[in-house]
Amino acid sequence: METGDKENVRRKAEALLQQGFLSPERDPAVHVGEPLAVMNPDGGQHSWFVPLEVGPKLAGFAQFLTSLVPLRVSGFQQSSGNYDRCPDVADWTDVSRILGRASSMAREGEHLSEPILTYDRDPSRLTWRVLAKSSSGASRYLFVAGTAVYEASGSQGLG
Amino acid sequence: MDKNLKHAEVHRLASLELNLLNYSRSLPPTVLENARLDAGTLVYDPNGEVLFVRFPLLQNGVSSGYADIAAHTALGAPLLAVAPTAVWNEQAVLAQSREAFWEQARGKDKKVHHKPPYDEVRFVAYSFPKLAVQFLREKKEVVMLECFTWIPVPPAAERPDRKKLEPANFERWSLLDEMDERRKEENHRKFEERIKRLHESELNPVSVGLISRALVEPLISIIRLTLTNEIHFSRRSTDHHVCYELRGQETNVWCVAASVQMLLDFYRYNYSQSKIAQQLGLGTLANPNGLPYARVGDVVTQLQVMSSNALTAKMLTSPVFYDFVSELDQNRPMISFIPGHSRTVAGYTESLFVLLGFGGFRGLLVYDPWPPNAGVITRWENFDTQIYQYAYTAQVTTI
Repeated sequence: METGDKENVRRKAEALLQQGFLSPERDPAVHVGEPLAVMNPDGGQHSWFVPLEVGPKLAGFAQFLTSLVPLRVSGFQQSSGNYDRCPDVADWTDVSRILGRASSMAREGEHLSEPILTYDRDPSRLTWRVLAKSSSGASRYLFVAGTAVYEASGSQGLG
Repeated sequence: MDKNLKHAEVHRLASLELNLLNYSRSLPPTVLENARLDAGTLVYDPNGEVLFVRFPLLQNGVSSGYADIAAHTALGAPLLAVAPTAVWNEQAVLAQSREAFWEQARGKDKKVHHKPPYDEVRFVAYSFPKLAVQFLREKKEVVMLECFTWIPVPPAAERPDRKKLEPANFERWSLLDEMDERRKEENHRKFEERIKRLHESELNPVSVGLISRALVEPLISIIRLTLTNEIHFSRRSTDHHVCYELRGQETNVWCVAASVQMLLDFYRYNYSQSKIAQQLGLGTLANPNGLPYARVGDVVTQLQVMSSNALTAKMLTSPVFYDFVSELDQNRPMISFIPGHSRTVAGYTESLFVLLGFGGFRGLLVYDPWPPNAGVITRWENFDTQIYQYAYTAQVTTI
């Protein structure tokens, strides 16, 4: 990814905050973080995830298509200006923390790949995906969405 | 359901829409500034109804293009097109068409005609948006000539195998007759809603036919350029604050249970998510499963069962934006299914600006149970980038 691309994404996110996305009044405490690429399950880039940070807390995020068309702006805080119950920025952006979470579900002898930010079924279900490979060659996917860790179920319904 | 608008109403809409377009600076500032609407030309559908009005624009008496404004709600939005560099002079076009008519008549019949064999001339969008001039006598067509080529447009072809909206290159067909009924209905709703909102706004001073930023400027501080509604405790939103709560899904496959929980909580049916999951057949916290597509109708059943039939629920397939708007305006939250996921919707926003027939930003306020145990409130989800498969409404049964 070019640095210029990321700068454009950040500017777009800032513009949405000014326009009353996230909260009707722009909270000056909210800072636009470093955009991360959201990958399609088949490997291409689907969109951008832009963290909206208040100190160590993740107030929310913006998501844009690669064409910079906004998909959404989402917030974790349930009452205006209160970010205490929001997740940590690191829960969604720190690869070592995400890998640590995935390893809690790993079986003995399984090797974990580098996490990839992607989605589970629908692009609104953002999650990190980690490939767990055993020494026998068997593999499975583990997903880390914030503090939740789960294994791919192959379910075709709504979840 | 769909309907024609009176000419005065079309003129008023033209003035409002062009002023908003000019104010939004979507076109270079000199294009529309200080333009006036000249007398409009009615353009008919081949089925005989007025489809739109073409208004020439004049700046200091000089042509500055034209704007096409819908005269029929089936077109979905008032502003169809603005052509700032084109010239529209109805009388000049009619004079050319008469000349072509006589030339062709003389070619066929060498006799000299003293009296025109027609008593009415009108413009017809014979293959929308292509125009022709139709010559009529006693309401019956004598001939229809395509504008500027002046080639006669053949009568409507009898082609029973032709699919709707798939005409041949040079074929007359009716947009109003061939438009899908559901699309027509949606367009009508969209159009009526926009008229209502424009009437509700305080934009009257800019509805008189002059396009000017100076007219709009003082009104901007008192009108909202977006229309927004969010769920409240009651329909008297002045008395109570926003009243809707987020529930995160308690397993990675309980989005439907969490969505049903949010909706039932709004109506004060406080069930645990596990209980709702049990009712929907979604397993237990230790061994959960998602809702199979074959059982999407179960949501309706359980909303009613779990409220002891105090709620009447309904499932909508492929909901459109105004399905959400009309429910939310009644202060009723909805459940929304997208591919593989379920969420609830508790508000909407829509930009008042409309550019060349396309709406501005349309967004939904989504209470999304994902990620598990947290959920997010999305303000706003871009309606035009998401696929909406089903939506569920629930209405309190009253006496």
